[in-house]
Amino acid sequence: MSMFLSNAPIPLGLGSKLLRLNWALPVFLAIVSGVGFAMLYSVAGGDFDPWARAQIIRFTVGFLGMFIVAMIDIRLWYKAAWPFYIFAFALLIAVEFLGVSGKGAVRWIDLGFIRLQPSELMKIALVVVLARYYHDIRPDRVKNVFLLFPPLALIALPAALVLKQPDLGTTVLLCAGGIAIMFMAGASLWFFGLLVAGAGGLVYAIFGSCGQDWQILKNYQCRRITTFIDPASDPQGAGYHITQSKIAFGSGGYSGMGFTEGPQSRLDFLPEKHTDFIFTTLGEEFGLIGALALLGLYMMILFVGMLTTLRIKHTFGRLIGTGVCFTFFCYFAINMAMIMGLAPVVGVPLPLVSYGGTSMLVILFAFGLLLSAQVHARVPFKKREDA
Amino acid sequence: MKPLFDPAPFEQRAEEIEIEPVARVRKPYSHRLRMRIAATTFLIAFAALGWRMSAIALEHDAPQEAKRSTGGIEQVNRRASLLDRNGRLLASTLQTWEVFVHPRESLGAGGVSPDDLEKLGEIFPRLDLIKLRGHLNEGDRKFFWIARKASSDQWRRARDLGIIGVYAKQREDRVYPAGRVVAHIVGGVDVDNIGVAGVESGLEDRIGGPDNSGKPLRLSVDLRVQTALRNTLSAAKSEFAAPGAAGLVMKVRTGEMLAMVSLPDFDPNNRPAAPKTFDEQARSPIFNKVTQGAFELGSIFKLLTTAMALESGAANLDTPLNATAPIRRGGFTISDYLGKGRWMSVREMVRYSSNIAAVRVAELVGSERQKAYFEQFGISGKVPLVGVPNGELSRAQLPRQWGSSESATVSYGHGISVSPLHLATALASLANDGCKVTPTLLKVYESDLPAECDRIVSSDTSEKIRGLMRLVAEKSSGRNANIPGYEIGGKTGTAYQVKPSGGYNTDKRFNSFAALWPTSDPEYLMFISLDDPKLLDGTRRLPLAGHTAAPTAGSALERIAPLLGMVPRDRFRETVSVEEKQDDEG
Repeated sequence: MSMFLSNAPIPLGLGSKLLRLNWALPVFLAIVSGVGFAMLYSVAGGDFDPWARAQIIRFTVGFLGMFIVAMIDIRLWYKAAWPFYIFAFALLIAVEFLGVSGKGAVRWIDLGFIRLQPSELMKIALVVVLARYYHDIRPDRVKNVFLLFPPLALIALPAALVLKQPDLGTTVLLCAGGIAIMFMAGASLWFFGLLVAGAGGLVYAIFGSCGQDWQILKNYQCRRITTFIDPASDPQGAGYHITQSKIAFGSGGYSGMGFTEGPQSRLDFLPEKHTDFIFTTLGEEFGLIGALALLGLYMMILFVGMLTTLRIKHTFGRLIGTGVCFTFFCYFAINMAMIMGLAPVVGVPLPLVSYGGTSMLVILFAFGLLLSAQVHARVPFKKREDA
Repeated sequence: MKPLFDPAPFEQRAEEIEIEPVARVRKPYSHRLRMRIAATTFLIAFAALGWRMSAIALEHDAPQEAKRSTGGIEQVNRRASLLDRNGRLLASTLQTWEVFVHPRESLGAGGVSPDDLEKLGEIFPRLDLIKLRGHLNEGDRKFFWIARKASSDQWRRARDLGIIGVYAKQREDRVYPAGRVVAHIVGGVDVDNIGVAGVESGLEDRIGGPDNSGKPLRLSVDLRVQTALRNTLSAAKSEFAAPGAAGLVMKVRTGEMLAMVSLPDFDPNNRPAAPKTFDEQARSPIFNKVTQGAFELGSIFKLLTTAMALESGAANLDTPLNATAPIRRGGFTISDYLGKGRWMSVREMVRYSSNIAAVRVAELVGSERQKAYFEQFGISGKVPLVGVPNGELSRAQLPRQWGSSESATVSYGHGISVSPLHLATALASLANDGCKVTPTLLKVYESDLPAECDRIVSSDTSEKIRGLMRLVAEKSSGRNANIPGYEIGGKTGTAYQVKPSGGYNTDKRFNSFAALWPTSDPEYLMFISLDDPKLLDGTRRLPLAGHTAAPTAGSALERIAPLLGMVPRDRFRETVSVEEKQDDEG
């Protein structure tokens, strides 16, 4: 790829932009999505309906969208950062009032043609706005303690709204992605030390509050945490998902039972078999080899993404790349950990594989931003404090 | 080849600095450290996930160890059997086996001889031998189902063939010997043997609870009565080309449900999937019309209107009512089908099922008192039917505002949607000497009966209502149900169906009949409903309840009463006088 990174004239034409594009990333994204189509085909009992067909259509739209995003000058995204964030934040507030309730949580705004999940949009908006924030700060002031508060507020406001919906999974992803950017941008290490301690204390307080009168979480969330610690305590209730997915995963063995042959998932033992728990189907049908292969693919995307990010010459682009990679990492790591009983069930989909339109579009959009930063890796960027 | 990790990724490389358009200041923090921390995080996560995957996959690497569902060892408590009131088996738990083969293992051990395969096919007639042979020859599968529900005998014979790679796992299966007949009563269980509907769900704690292992549970249902009612309704459903039918038989004194039928029904041994959309729900066979339905039930409500009038003293049976001409209330014209066009008494109002007269009675009672009486009669909220999960009980849909037009239509059973169970329970309470009846699906023993009467109307009112029901069965629209000798009382209800778009569909009716016998000392109440019946007998009569639901109730009653040990008393006495040919409906 570095052979394209000559001292190219600016602005670039569309053709040369396409040539510059790091094609490895789209290829890996398409392969992982292909795995997703196969799994959705399988959980439907060997049928393109009701899930695989819709997913393929969404992927096609999102994939094209990714290239369009990548072709747009990164400085335009820089300019759009604040409006974008405010727009996403306004939608999050709107969902409180106009939202459609699905499975006990208010998460959508029904626009008629698409059910928009503003919390998903916020994942990107947060990355973009934080990248801009740190881009605008003079490097020698990054460690300034007072400059920690604006980004923390930028993270905390949407996270609080999303937590209220309630959507623990997205909250975790928002916080993790945002804090990762702060970390990579160079915020003080003392701060992260405090943050780890504070988070530990908060988690302890949240766990401790279950069953007390000042309980912070919803009852079902408390039950998930209890059953995470001891899944056997409630095998028919809240521990059901975990126990079932472990069984499904375990019965796959080394090489699995074969494509569309997994009995557990197809026999409706798992309520969310086509969304958050689709990894169990993969484990059951393709076994350990298949599961490790998918994990490997995810890691490839991550490392290709990080390597791409390293070649970007402006802070804005690098931080976007880092944020996108880190959020993507949190997606699959949390999902897999949850299925294998290493983390409580928080409702995070397996990126690009789980059935779900908004999440697929948002991930491809995010990688589009990363690619845009890569294509425009050397554009001259004005910094506010330079001007 | 570049190294996977750039040692200083965020730093500018020396050779690149001069081509950088924007001059950069060296950052005051360590990129190296941060990048390393990030990369280490990723690698640790990768290792942890990979290790965990391997651990789980290898730990459970054998399907025969994989506990099917969470059941497994802890589920030694067998679900209690369900019996009808006379001890006939309605539901039981059987030990069955899931038989499967590991083709690769068999292949590794030298394959399976054609003889053995042939014998396997004899033991399991539904086994696809060609497919199995293919997998056994190719060894392309790790796992193949031979039978999902095999008896102990089948598994013993298969095991004795000694084929390497064939295994079985024990499981429990809920079986319903009576099948469809008791579909909506028992409901059914899911793959984990947890009740999902009907008594199985409503009494889950009692049936699946650890303390009641093996102790059968006796229901109020009489399988003979249930079968008779279902057969009659099924025949009526075909005769009148009705898409659905519902019926129940209740013991008036105890509230015990002897029978509860909703057609179409399903086989609880193979319960169909839950309907996905709201529209499908009402048509789904798993929908129990008796408890979950909400229908406008029509003129049977006139009995309630009369009871209110008598009880409140607003009218007596001889109070004259002006039914000379149709009346307008709140923009609607209310008229009678085959109206008399004259003044009539309250007694005649019920007998001729006059809507106009019913409105007059309601106006004597007044909307406030009317509302309060509905509450008292249990026509509000849900009927607390013991044994049925709360989700399977519908809520009565009463008018939101109780204005003059609502008060008027409600008096003859329109603009108010309730389940057949609601109305049957209210009528049973009126008939039960005015004492409130609580319906139940559990057998009631004498000792469980409440000693005190929870009175909703006086004894006198109860007697008069029963007299009116007898009058209808003897002299007017209920004649078709009047099986001689049982002293049957009844009331018909013909209601137009509500269109989904609002308003009434005057081509579609919902016909009901409530029968009570014997009226002088009521023991049983039957409620029959037919959804959109049609008269296909060539006459051009309208499909009113008197021609559809009433004869259905009559033939059901003719079968059921003897089963309950009743003997017709005045068998040979003509009960219908010749002059009475008036055929009235509401």
